[in-house]
Amino acid sequence: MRLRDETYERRLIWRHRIGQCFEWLCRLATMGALGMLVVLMGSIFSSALSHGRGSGLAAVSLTGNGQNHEVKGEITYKVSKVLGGDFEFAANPDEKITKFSAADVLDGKVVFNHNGKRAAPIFDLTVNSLKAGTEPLGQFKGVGPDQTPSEFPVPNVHPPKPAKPWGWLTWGFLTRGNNDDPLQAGIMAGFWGSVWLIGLTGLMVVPIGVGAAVYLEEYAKPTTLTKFIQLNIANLAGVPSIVYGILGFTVFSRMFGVFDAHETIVSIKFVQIFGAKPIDISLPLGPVLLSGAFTLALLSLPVVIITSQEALRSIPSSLRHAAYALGATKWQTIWHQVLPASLPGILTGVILSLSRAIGEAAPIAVIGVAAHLSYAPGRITGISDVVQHPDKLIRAPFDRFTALPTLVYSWVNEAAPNFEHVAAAGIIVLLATLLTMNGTAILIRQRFQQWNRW
Amino acid sequence: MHVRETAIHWILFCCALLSVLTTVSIIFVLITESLIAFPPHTAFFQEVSFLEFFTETRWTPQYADEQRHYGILPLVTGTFLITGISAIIGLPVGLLIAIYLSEYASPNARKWVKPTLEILAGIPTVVYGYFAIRFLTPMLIVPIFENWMGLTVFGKNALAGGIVVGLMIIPMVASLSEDVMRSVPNSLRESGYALGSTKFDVSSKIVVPAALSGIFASFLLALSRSIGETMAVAIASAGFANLTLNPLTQIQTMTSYIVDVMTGEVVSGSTVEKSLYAVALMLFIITMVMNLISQWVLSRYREVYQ
Repeated sequence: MRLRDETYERRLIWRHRIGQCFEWLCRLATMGALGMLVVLMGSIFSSALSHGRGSGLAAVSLTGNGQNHEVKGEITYKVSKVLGGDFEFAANPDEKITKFSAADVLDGKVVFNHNGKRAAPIFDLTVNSLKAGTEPLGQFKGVGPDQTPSEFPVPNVHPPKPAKPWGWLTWGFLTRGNNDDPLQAGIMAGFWGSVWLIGLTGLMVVPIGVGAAVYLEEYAKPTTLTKFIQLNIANLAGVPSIVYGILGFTVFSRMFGVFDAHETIVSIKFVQIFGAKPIDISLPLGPVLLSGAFTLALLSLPVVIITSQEALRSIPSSLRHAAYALGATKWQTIWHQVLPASLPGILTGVILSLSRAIGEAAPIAVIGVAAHLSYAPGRITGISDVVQHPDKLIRAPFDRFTALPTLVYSWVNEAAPNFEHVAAAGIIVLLATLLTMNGTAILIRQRFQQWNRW
Repeated sequence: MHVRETAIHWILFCCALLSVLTTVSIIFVLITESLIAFPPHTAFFQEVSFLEFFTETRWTPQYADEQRHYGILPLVTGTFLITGISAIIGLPVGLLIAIYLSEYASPNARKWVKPTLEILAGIPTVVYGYFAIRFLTPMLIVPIFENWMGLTVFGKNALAGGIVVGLMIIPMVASLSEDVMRSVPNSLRESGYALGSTKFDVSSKIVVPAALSGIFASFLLALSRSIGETMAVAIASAGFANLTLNPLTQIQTMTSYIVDVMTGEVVSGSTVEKSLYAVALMLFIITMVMNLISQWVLSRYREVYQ
């Protein structure tokens, strides 16, 4: 009997072909997922750096020093050599036009669509009158935003935003509060809100999370209660963030409706040592920074506990035994040996889970945070302001706030044109903030890992 | 000294107990607003019957009084439409990536692919929402389904939301499944090769079946994540609560309904506000059950190979 006949050979070839196809399928899936990341980033950056859609030419767009209102309705325009975009009818945005009347402009029918290639679009313009036959009223070459001919009203085609290499991500965008006008909208309030959130949440979550992890890893005996706590933590990590939002809304923001009937005001007097007025805190807290930070702390606590536990578990028990052998108590061992050794792992986990929490828009939106806010928490305007009024630092946690993802959410949902570019610029700020946090985590891990050698 | 040690022990114990307290307070809050309330107040289900909640096919709490209906079915179908689309995209791709990473990829490729996938996992969900409504819908879904196939596509549609949620769960499925596949002992693979199997045979007939329960658990976790996903869906798909399975229309999911109501005006103590808690309770129960099952499967699986 021949072991290798032709059918066998053919089957062997096919088996290898299928195997190769499968390997390529796996590669394709991986490349596809990573490619989507590239497309996602590309769409955001191209939108943030683009010029923005042309706004319709309105009555105010007809500029000229000697505006003769009587001829406005009877004037027709002919444009040629248009650089930096196209004139279009709003109803038919794909077709470029060269002729339109002043009446069209006044009715808002004409749109100038910037293609983003020039900061200031330029075109040649011939102005005709409907009445005065074929004789052109005037001819202008190179009409741009900077030079408007004086005698006749001409269409003004200012781009919606001055063209800069960084598009919508301007200094003004970074330093202004939110606004209904896309050109005036800024992210300052959201950025500082998020920074406050990171700080406050971190202050709450680090001691409690690490404490819980230390208890579960170092103290707890494997009883039913311990197992239950462990299972409970693992489950909490999978609870949708919006449920935490509902919890935060009820417990912190609304306080079970206990104070609904009569709003209570608690005054904090100790700030008077700074010579400032006492801080009045109204209960229920409402959508203030503290409610947001409590909510995010509850949200990120399970993940912090789990990652801290893993960090503690990776510490060899020889370290603990050595400490015990030298007569250290359990807490001394943990405080002086185990915690410092596991610090890089714990910090990495804390920062990563915090950056997750900061990117969450849902719980923050649910506790009732509004996006339309034009000041940073506590109305802090700068470092000198903090130095002069240190009480503002205590005021801020009880102040209303907005956060980066909340702003992005409201901008994405905004129907007005050009807000998608504002949203994209906001996303870049959000991603940059998260990247900074994650970068810090990586840096800490690398720095501290050199210390510990065993 | 002994007193201090004991005090620290108890303080740390309280820290750990806080997580139980969180669960208890979640359950307490959800139940007191939806099932049984303290006497002067009434809970959601004391105002709306269970029968209406589970059998009515309209969900219109924000309408005027006589047109107001509380039937969770549209929200549930919306949620499962999103979850279904995301599963079709996310689960196979995630599994293929996991197989690639654990069986085919060179250590060098792994070193690059894994952190990049983590970036994909770390992107905030609002960003995915933006991507869906500003890129996927106008650049991909409208050209294919409206211009080419002649169907009506809404600006907010379930397909865009489902696709981005699918993208979101890919890293999760990939990393969890990869972990379980890598923990399949090498001796199993080697015995496969010894019997003349190709790499494909080994991966598909030995490694995947051996890691099946872990893969199943990762699928469940991913699905529970896509059920609980909020912002991307709220941005990309959520509008009116249609009872439909058409992925090209707007839908409302349980999560996006909560956001929708809470970002608008809501009267404190109204039935609309209480309906949020009823919906959140449903959401909590569904995701909790899925998480519990997957945890149970994962823990059982760990015992087998260790």
